[in-house]
Amino acid sequence: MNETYPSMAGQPAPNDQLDAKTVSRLLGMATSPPAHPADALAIKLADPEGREWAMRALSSPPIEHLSSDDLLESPTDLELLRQLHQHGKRMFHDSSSSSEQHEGMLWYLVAIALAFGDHEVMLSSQPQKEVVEAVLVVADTLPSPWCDRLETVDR
Amino acid sequence: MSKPRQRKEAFPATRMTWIRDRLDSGEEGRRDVTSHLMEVYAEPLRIYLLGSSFRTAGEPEELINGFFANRLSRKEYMDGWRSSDKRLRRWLINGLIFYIKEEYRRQKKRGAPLSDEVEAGLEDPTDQYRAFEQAWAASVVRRAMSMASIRCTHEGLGAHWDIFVRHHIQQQPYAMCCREHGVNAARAAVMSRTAATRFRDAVRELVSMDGADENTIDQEIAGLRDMMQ
Repeated sequence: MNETYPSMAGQPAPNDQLDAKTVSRLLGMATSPPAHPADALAIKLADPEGREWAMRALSSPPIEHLSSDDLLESPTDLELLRQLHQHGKRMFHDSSSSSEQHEGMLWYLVAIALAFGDHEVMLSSQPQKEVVEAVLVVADTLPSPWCDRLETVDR
Repeated sequence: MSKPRQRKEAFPATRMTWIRDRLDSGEEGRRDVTSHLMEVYAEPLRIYLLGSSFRTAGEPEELINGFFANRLSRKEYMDGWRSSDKRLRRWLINGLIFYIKEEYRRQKKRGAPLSDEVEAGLEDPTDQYRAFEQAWAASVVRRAMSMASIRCTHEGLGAHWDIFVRHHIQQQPYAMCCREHGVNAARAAVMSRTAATRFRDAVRELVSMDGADENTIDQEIAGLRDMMQ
């Protein structure tokens, strides 16, 4: 049997649904650090300053002969995406500052998304479902056209 | 080949000093602070009064409104909090108790006798503090949900918020709550994660505004969770 639930979009839950267990569980979602690096990046990008930071980063890809326009126009060259993927991975693992780790994660996910969306090539050896979810979590926090471009990973 | 990296440091602005900044920005800022205090603290204070020996002191809503009107009209009241190490909720509940005592004294001066229960309560007003903390935690969650909901709507993430509420509050599986939005369960889980980051930000902002700093906020939230057990 299909149960029907009223939509609560835009509305906080009624008080009687917030029992002690629910309050505790929801508070638990607010503790840090986030479990996944992509979630940490998404949290940074959810803030307007974080989004500005991302826009600045995305306007200047760290790979020679690869421009921001190249990334936004499908299909992006696969070899350049492979370089971008490796660069992002190195930057994420080798950096000590969280800002550089975030930037590394951003390039890593951008490269994976476009390689999969444009060429159906999965650059990561991680489980595909997890990688796609990580890309989409970050895509959700980016404005168009980056959001739409990254979402091609799921099409 | 990689280009030389440019160092880009940008961190999200903290809202920890919001109350202080608003208090310093004149009458409009003080009104914003009053509105915030009423939204986040009035209900926990009401629950405290209902469970405490002060329940016979009068209508809780009237007492709380009187307390806020009386104390927040004095600039030095919130300045006192700013110079104290106390969490705002502790400052307010202490202030409410003092306010009620003042009311009793005025009442007594006018010749109205106090009941034994009220007299005893004046000496031992610490009961029901746990109930107050629990109510405050619930109030923070409700307010954070409201803030996150508004933010998601503003950012065009209304569907994300709906899925978050359906899954995390109404306990619907993603396979069910995704249908109305025309996405699959995996995508619904991702959308819910995005909404969860807005909710997380809102909770941390509210707990920060109560006085927790970056070093203590996780401990503070953990303490609230323990209080709910």
